[in-house]
Amino acid sequence: MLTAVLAVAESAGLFRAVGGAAIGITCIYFLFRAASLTVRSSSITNLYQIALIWIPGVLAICLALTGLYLVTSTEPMTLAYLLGVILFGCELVMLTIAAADLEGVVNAPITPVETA
Amino acid sequence: MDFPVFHLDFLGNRYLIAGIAILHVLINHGLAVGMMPLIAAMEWYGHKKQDPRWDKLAYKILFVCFLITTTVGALTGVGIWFSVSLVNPYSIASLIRVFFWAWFTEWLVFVTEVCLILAYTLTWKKWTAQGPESKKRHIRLGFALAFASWVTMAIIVAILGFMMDPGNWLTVNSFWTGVMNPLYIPQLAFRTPLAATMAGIIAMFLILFFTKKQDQFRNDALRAVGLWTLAFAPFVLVAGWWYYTSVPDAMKDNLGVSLGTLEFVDWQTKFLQIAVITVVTILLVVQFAISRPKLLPKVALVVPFVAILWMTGHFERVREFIRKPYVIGQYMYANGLRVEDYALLQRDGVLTYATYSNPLTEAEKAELPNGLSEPERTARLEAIQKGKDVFMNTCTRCHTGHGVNSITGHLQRMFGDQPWTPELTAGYIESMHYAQPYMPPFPGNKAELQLLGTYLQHLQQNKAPIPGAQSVGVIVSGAAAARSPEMTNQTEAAVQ
Repeated sequence: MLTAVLAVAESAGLFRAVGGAAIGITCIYFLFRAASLTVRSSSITNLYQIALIWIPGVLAICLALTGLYLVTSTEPMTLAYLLGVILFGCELVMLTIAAADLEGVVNAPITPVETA
Repeated sequence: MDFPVFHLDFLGNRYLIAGIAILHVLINHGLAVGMMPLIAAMEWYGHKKQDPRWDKLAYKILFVCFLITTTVGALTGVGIWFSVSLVNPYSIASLIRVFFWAWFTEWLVFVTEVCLILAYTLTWKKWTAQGPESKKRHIRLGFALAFASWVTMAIIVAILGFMMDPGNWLTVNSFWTGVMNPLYIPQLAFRTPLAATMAGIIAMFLILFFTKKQDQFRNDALRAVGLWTLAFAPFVLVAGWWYYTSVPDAMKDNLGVSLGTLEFVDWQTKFLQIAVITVVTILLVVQFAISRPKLLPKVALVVPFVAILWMTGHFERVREFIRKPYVIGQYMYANGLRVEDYALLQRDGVLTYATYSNPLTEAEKAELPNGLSEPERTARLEAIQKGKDVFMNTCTRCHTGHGVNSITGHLQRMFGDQPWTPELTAGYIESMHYAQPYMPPFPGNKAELQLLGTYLQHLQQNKAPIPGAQSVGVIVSGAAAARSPEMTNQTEAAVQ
């Protein structure tokens, strides 16, 4: 919804400010959860499990920033702009999901992240 | 011009090679180079966790790869060299002279790879049943197979890079200068993670067929293989950029044409946009597979599966095209003639050095202008015959007469229905290299240019297919060929 409103507004400055803030908040939330989980379970996790904690969120941050860059650096309603909007919206959701998934694990008793 | 000209007038020679080569690359990268380390890693992980589900899944995926790589993969691998030897024996001969030992080594590694995949697949169940020590040995066998697969690619990529840009080899003709050409390492750095990413996407697609929807293991497997894919994806982008920036600027100028056809030069921008959208789509699906594997439908994985095949196919097409007008950068033109021979050929004419003539069929002799006397008809046919020989020796490596990428199609687009007089077409062909740098300069002399023009004029009326030597044979040029081994042999011998 936020992405749709920002896209319709067609203001690069507004998108940069609000979109950037949204990524920033979600990003901090994810990084805090991921770091917390990594530290809490450092003795019982392996490299694969650490990758499973970090890679989805880090990739989502990178792609969301790419989407934001596309939106703010191109003319409204061009293909690159629309691609940026979709990328920004989807990756913000993916980042939130990645962080929310970690929250459940962080609040649970210390057990290894079950992967396989 | 020492070999009879193999020619496919409908499909075109280059599509024969492209079809076989692209199919081979898809199989080689997706199911061998990238997939073998993934399968070995899955087997290792299953053994480490003592989880037989990983072992079963890895074996099922391996069996699919085994079937395809040892049949279609092996046939297309050999098929590439057969087809290029037929279509452009001069380029392959030059490459063999430079890379003989590389090819010999590759052949040894390839045979090793075939033996390893046979052993790896056929001993899987037996060695697994024999206990942990045998299983560890089997896992090592898997990683050895993965290494052998990568080495075959690493050797061939040296040759592919050399064909694009031989670098210092042009002045220092040594083997290692040829191997360490400017595009070798960037291209290898790009293809290695590309193969791993392709394998990841193909494996995710196969996992949906080899596991049940309600099974928790499907989620675990999708997550793990999704991570494998995402781990290599950034390297594809970084190495891809390195590779792209290493390509000489003259080749980048060909990019627009290489992505589509001459009629779609402006398609470059659209293609790049489609490529970006495709990459983003792949990333989104893989991300989703990691985050919510339970909600992922089979059809969603068809998208990245088809997309990565499409992208790789296009990458190969672009790589093949942008090195034009050369088949071996700055050494040999796409028509199979060496750059250093051009001065001689343009002075004496290509027909002087052509060992074989390509006889006209009865169908090709039709559609001559009405009202010609018998001597005029004979003289006309003789000019058409010589023009056809020029065409076959200098144009048919890339162009057909009336089929795909046909020369008549290009002339029709440029000159329409007006008569294609020799003056008109010869004037264009003489300077086409400067107007379209991806076209080699015309290698013959002025007289041959006019003969080619006469032949093209004939093709405007005559739509008969132009057969290659494999269909109608050749005529040995005899004394007319300066390099004919039997200068005293004046008889024309039809060879078929």
